Amino acid sequence: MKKNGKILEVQNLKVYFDTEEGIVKALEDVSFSLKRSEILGVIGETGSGKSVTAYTITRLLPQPPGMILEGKVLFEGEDLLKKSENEMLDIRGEKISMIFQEPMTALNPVFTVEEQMTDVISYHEKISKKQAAEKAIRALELVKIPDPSLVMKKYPHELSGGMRQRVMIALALSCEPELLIADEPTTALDVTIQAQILALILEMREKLGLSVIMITHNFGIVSEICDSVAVMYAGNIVEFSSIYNVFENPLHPYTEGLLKAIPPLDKDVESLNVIPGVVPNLIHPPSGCRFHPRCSRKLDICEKKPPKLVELTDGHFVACHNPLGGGKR
Amino acid sequence: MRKNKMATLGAFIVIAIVIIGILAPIISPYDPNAQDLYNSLEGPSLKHPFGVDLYGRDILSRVIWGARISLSISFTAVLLSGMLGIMLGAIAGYFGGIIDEIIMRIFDMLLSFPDILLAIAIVAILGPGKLNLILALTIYSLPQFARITRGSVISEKNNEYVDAARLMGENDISILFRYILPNCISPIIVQGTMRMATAILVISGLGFLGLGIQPPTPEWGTDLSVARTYLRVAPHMGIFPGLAIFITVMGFNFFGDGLNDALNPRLKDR
Amino acid sequence: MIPILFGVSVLSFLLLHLIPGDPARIIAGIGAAPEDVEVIRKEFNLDAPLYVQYISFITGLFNGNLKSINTQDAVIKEIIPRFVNTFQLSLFSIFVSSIIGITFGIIAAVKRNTWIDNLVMGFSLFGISMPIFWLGILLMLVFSLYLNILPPGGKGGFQHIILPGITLGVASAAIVARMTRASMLQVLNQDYIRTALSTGLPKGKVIVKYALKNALIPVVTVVGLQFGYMLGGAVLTESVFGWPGLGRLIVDSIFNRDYPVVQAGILLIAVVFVLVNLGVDLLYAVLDPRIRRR
Repeated sequence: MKKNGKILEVQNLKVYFDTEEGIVKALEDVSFSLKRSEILGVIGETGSGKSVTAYTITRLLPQPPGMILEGKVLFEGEDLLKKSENEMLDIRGEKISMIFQEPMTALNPVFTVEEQMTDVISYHEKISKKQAAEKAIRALELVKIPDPSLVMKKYPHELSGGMRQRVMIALALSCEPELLIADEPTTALDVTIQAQILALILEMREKLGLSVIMITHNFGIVSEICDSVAVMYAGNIVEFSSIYNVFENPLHPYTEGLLKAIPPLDKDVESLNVIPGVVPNLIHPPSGCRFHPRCSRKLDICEKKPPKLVELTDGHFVACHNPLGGGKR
Repeated sequence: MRKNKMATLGAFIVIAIVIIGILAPIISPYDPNAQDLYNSLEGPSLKHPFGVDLYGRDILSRVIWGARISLSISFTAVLLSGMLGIMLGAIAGYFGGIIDEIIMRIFDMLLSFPDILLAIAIVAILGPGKLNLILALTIYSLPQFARITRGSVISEKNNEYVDAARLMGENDISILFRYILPNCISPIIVQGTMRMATAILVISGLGFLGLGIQPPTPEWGTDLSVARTYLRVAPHMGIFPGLAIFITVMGFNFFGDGLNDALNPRLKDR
Repeated sequence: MIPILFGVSVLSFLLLHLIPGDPARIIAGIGAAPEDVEVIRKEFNLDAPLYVQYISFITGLFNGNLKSINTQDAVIKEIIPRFVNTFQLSLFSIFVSSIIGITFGIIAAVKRNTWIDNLVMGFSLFGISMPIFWLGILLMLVFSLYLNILPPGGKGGFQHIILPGITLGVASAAIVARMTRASMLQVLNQDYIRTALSTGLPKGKVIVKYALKNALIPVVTVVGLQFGYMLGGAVLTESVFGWPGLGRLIVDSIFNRDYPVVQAGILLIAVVFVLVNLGVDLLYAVLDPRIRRR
């Protein structure tokens, strides 16, 4: 396993949900990879399957009704989907951690910060509660929480939203994981706090060599801290490459549409450029390429055959029968 | 889904028992008070599918007539307490202020007695008998109806359609009855079914204690209290009246539960 | 709380005076001679204004002047031991009820929508619909009469409390199970459970430590209220099994027209009920740190 190689490789994930209304084909074909100490942004609209992907990687998906039908999740070379639940307990928190969107409800209200953190630390590292408490304080210092020993004794409802989010990050990083999956961690925070949290994540990457998957629907965040980006639409990764490639030279019509929809700061616009149509119903998704009903570059084959993710140019992957940049397949 | 099956089962049971009660004079095989002292305490037989009691009276007939009694009393009481409770609750909720305070305080005090005790106390004051039982049950059920109505009214009265109606010159009473109350119906109906179930339990409970319907009128609870003394020699006496109570109450509870799910769609258990 | 206690005591006191008719005649009984009625009127001071009677009722209760008509003993000497009996029964029953109810509720929540869940929910609906005195009679039939392993009634050694305790407890367990399941389901859906699982804590530990503490808060409230109901509502169970409790005493006194006992008994139960409710509120504050700060 190379030190600077790929820490995570997701290959052809297919996850469906068996619900009362029918089978929700949440993830059809999801593939992307992450290098060590890289920050990957996974961007897409609500319902595109970003969170489902995150939960599948950590095997937190409730298995009925969720069904992992195909695919591999290679973490440091090993397929997480083949591991037993006991083995996953050693991965979660220790190797892979998650932080979530709602800091207000993410922490247990009836336990103090200290109790919640020492529980996790002493469980994973098999040290005494006292040593765990010391580690916890260091984790809180790492996320720049003032007066960590005081905060330790507090209950979550006594802390502000921004503080709670920091505590959650501290909790996630307390056992020094290699990979952090952040599921829209700043969406529920106001802009100034958002900037602080993003800066914090960058710092963690610098200091600890942390690899990060940043799930968001905000291109601004992606451009600020991500090295590479994977664009998701209706359960598929439609484009995947470095930020530079995707921003300067988008290959997928959806990506282009998303970028165009951001109103420019420097001039007035008469109307916003919206992508026509709506996100498809995942119980009865469109045939072939799921984006075809909204695509201005649609070809006949798009209705029949779903496009595969291929490396069109060096390090730039796209799943399209008629990508931009002239590279027809 | 499963809840719907329960609601329909409950509805079946309720309707069946109501029919039995209404048709009691016709379908009851014997006069429930007809005594036959030669055969006293005999167990179930072809002639008497539920057996006979201490005085040789046919238990099946007594159970059938018991349905009539229990249902008529509880229905009357629930209807009365419903109407009264809705009125009081609506007034308290809509007008608020002192009226609300007073009404709710009184109900709070009533509710600070545990269930059975309140019913017992009222019966102690008024004496046993059919009419007093209805009165006791009405008082006993009032607070719940009032609370639910008040809650619904309070949450509805801040809606815009109320302001709109006021602007058009409607007076308060009219607004209350024409607009607000119809929107509060569903929790009230559910509560009504639940109250029927409780009322039947209270009626038979009081009967069991000897404070309810007096003998020789056939009432499930009263019959059960006699049965207890003769349990050793005639166990069948203790089974059938109680079974009747159980099935009837269960019917109302199933129905009310299912109704609750149907009328108040909440977030499903994910 | 004080106004409620006051109101409750007034209501209990007023019981006698709410009965339609002349209180003295009511106490004396239907066939009493006029002279006897007058004697009673003097004895119970029924000519005095109501508030005076109320005061002597309350003071008489405590200093022993309030006497039972039947036994001529101080009312307070009668109702306290009976209350203790009811208290014992309720304690045992709430214990049974909590153990069965909470366990079943947790299992139903964790195994949601499986046959186990449906079974527990079915049992719960049965329990709510079951007339308690019938359950008692059935249990008595099976265990006392057929199997002959438990006594049918009365107070005595431990075996005497089992049947009434289980009767009262099972009925209450149905309600507790329902509440526990609902609360547990709600808690298991919360974000903080997802956070806990994502840190790699095993599911069992998350349920037992993290979920339970949150879920039990409303359950404790329900258990407390149930206990209060038992104290006042055990009268049916006491009647079935001949358990010498306070509820039984009140009912008997109603039949005997021993009104001082009825009034005092109802007052005692109502006061205890109010105190239990208060205790439950305080307990809630202790368990839920979010409330504590107030």
